[in-house]
Order: sequence, then C-alpha cells, then structure tokens
Amino acid sequence: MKKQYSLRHKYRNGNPLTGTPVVVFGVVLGIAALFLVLRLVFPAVIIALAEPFWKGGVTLEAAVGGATAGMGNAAMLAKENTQLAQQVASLQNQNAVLTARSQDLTKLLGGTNTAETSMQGIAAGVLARPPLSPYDTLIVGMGAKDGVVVGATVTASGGIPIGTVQSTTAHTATITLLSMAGHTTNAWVGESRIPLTLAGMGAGAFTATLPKAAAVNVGDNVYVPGPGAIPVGTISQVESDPSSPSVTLNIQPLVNIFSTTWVEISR
Amino acid sequence: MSHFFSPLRILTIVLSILALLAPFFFPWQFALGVGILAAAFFPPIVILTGTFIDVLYFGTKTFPYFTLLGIIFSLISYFVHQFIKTRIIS
Repeated sequence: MKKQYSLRHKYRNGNPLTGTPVVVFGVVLGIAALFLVLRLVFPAVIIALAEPFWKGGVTLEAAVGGATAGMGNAAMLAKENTQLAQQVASLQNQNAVLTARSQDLTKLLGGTNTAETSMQGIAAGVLARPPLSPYDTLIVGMGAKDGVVVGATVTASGGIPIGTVQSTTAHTATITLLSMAGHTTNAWVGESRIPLTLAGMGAGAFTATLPKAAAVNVGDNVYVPGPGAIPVGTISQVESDPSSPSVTLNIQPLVNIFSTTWVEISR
Repeated sequence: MSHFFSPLRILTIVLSILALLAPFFFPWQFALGVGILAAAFFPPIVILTGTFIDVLYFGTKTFPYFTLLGIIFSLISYFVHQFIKTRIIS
C-alpha cells in the first residue's frame, strides 16, 4: 500500500542540524569571523569601507533636514530669522569686546593670547556621533597620518574641550568624550571657582557633588582647566536632601554633541 | 521563475539588505531590531548585523557581544522556523 506523503513526516524525520541551512550558517559565520579578524588586524580597512556610508548618511540627513525645514510657516520662519540675525549681530559685538578685553589683560599680565593660537589644532569632520556611534564617542575623519595622536585634547566650537583621542587608524580617530559614564574630570564652578569633580553621566551631561555650604545656584558656569578656565557647562539643577550635608549638581553641557559636525584636535 | 520572484522572497531579500545597511545609518538599537526582523525571514542575517555593529563602533579589544547576540537570535529564529515547518508551532 502506497504510503501517503506527509509534510510532517518529511520534516520530523529529517535532521534539522544537517543540510543546506547548516552550510548557509557556516558561510555567514565565516564571513562574520573574517570581519572580526579584519577588525583586529586591519581596523583601517573596516573604517575605509564604512566611510562612504557614513558620509552618505550625513548628506542624506542634511538633505532631509533641509527639505523639512521649508515646511514651516513662512511668516513665522521669517520672524525667527530676523530675531536670530539680530542675536548674531549682538553676539558678534560682544565677542569683539571680550576679545579686546582679553588681549588687554594678556598684555598686562603677560603670556600668550589663546585667541591668536586657537586654530593651531587639526580640524576634523565628525563621521559618526551619538546615537549612531556608541554614546559618548565620536568617530572623526582625521587619523595618525594627519598628525592625530592618542591622548590629544579635542575641542568643539569656541574652544570648549569635549574629550580626548582614544584610538587612531591611518585616517580616522575615535574620541572619548569627557561625559562618558564613569569618567571624572577636575573642574571649578561659579565665579569664585569652587573646585569640584565632574562625573560623566553620558550623552554629554555631568553631575557633581558639593557641600551645601558651597551655595552654588542654577545657571552658574562650570569650568575645566585649559589655558585658564574654560566653560564646559552650566548648572541646570541642584538636588538637595535635607538629611545630607551635600548637594548634587546636574550640569548641562554647552556643546551639543548630538549636532557636532566639526571638532579641533590638539597637536 | 514566478516562484523565484515571489513576494516572500523579495521581502526576504529587501529585509536582508536593510539589515546589512542599518548599522551604517541608524543607532545600534534600531539596526539590531531590523536584523531581528530580517531573521524572521532569513535567520543567519542577524549574525552579520551584530558583527557590523561590533566592527564599526567598538574597539578591537572589546568582546564581540553583538555578534554573539546575533548568533543567539539567529538560532532562535532558525529553530522557530523548524518548529513551524513540523507544525509543532501552528
């Protein structure tokens, strides 16, 4: 008697661990192993392969942003544009005043003017930033062959330090930000320059603890050592527990790492 | 010929390509999600998604956790496929 064909019989009596699926898995695992070995032996090759995709992503992001920006109300945009232009003019004037004052003070006290030497570093375009890259790391398009060294300080616009170079390949570098979770930085807060230790909270934010007697306020600037004291953030919240002798400061950074497109790496 | 270009096969190919490209354009959470979705149709692809996340964004001295995650999801997807075929899962 002819046995009736049964799909269930066919698959139940077959060994799922042999045949074509195993070959396919084997091939895919082989390709994955190859990439992992390449990462270990020739990391520059991986970055070189990825760079066109990252640049394409940045271009696409800018194009989409430009296209959607035009969808706003025209009159509202025109008004906002006028206000922003006025603010820019005002800030430019303030900058000129402060630069002149800084130069006068430098001449009075001696030393070099940081404004004159502000562009001695290596300008590097950001290829990948959070959330594309892991939080609190940036991948930039300048590497060892361009003069980038591990440990170099990295600053954003305005000369605000944001991190240090963690590793380099021939033409790219990975930057660890100061705000990486677990990273600590010595700093000061307020006009009286009260010393404190910034603890990275990730995503560009910091926290710090001070005695209640320090009397810091929301809006006070936080500075890190550089040439002098360089502002890196402002206090956005002061958390106080009546049973604790200290307060916890939540610090908002001045630099938005999610929209940073260019950084400067010190030589 | 029509079977080769069936909607299911086209969907599998499209999702697989998206799973391979997602780590370059999107955060790892989204890329891994696309990889898991693609694994529902072609189980091994999520291994490569995890590998790309490891090699692109994590240093050479870190353990390839995302590759391991991809292997786990791939195996789960494969065995679910097998169970469905044998009607253990309807």
